[in-house]
Amino acid sequence: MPEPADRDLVLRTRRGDVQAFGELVRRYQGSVFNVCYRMVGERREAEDLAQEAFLRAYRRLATYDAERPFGPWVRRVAARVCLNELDRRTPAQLELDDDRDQPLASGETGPEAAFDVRAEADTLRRALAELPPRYRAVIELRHYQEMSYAEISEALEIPLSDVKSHLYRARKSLARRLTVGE
Amino acid sequence: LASSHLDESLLHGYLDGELEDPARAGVEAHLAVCAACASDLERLRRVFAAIVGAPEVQLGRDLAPAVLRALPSVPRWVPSLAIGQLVGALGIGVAMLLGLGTGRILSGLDTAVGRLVGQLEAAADRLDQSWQLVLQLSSALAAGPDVTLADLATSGVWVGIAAAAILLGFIGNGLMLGGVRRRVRS
Repeated sequence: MPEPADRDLVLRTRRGDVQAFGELVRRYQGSVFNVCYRMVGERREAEDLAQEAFLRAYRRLATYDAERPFGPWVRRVAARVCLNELDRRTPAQLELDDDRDQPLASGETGPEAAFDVRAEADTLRRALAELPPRYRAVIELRHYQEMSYAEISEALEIPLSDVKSHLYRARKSLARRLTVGE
Repeated sequence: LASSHLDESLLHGYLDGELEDPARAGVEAHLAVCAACASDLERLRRVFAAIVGAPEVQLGRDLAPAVLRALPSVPRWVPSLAIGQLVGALGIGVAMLLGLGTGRILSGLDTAVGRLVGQLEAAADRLDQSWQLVLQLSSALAAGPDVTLADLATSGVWVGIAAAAILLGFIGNGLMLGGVRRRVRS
């Protein structure tokens, strides 16, 4: 029996079938969690924010166009949830996990390659975490959610010129930290 | 000369696919002849690749049970749609029922008034007939003993007078009862 399409699950959820929404959560929790993890840089916090993102998505399901893909929409909701959370915090509260996370699905299998991948992922995560929240948000929405400048402007409710300047400065900062832009 | 090189923000827009012609064509034309800007573009490509190159991290637990437990019993979109529509439909339904009820009440009232008017008209007819009989009798008595009721009945003059009186009675009653019906309806 084929799995139900996202659209069917959304429609069932709208009719009150919460188990259908549970299935949507299971399908997209990984990617939503990674959005949150890139945004806040801390695992436990990212899990809580991912959960909050799904709750917000549930409450806003009436605004979702069921003819469009569910994944990008819920990830954008997650990015917005994270940005709101980061905007509330003081800089001192923006801290990283000390533990090292095991990245998923690396094509390399050797211990050295795995170490390199892990080290690079950790470097990027730290570099992202040191960016101001709004810079992190534009990087997330542009590079991971592949949104246009206009879509980012609308999603973050900031002028188009701010989207461009935030992206420019964020990339300059990341280039310095990742040493790939030197 | 540095001033002859592309502005770096243009390279960002170019790689983001946000430049439209003729700006995009201008950038490509410049990159084709400027090694420094082409090098800058390549460096920027590596930054882009590094940003998206990091593998995703494994989520340690299933979030679905906690999410489902935390779901509101009545989601916010239900009031905005279902309950809103339900209230609207109920309002319309109640209005329709009231309308139907009012129609029935008015219809019943109209029927009752119609019956009353009919009975009044019938009574008026009988009263008219009685009154005309009284008039005929009184006229016959005034005419003297030589004139009989049969004479009256055959007299075209008296028959015409009687018919006119009946007609006037009908018209008068009709106008009066018509006014009563209009007042009741209003």
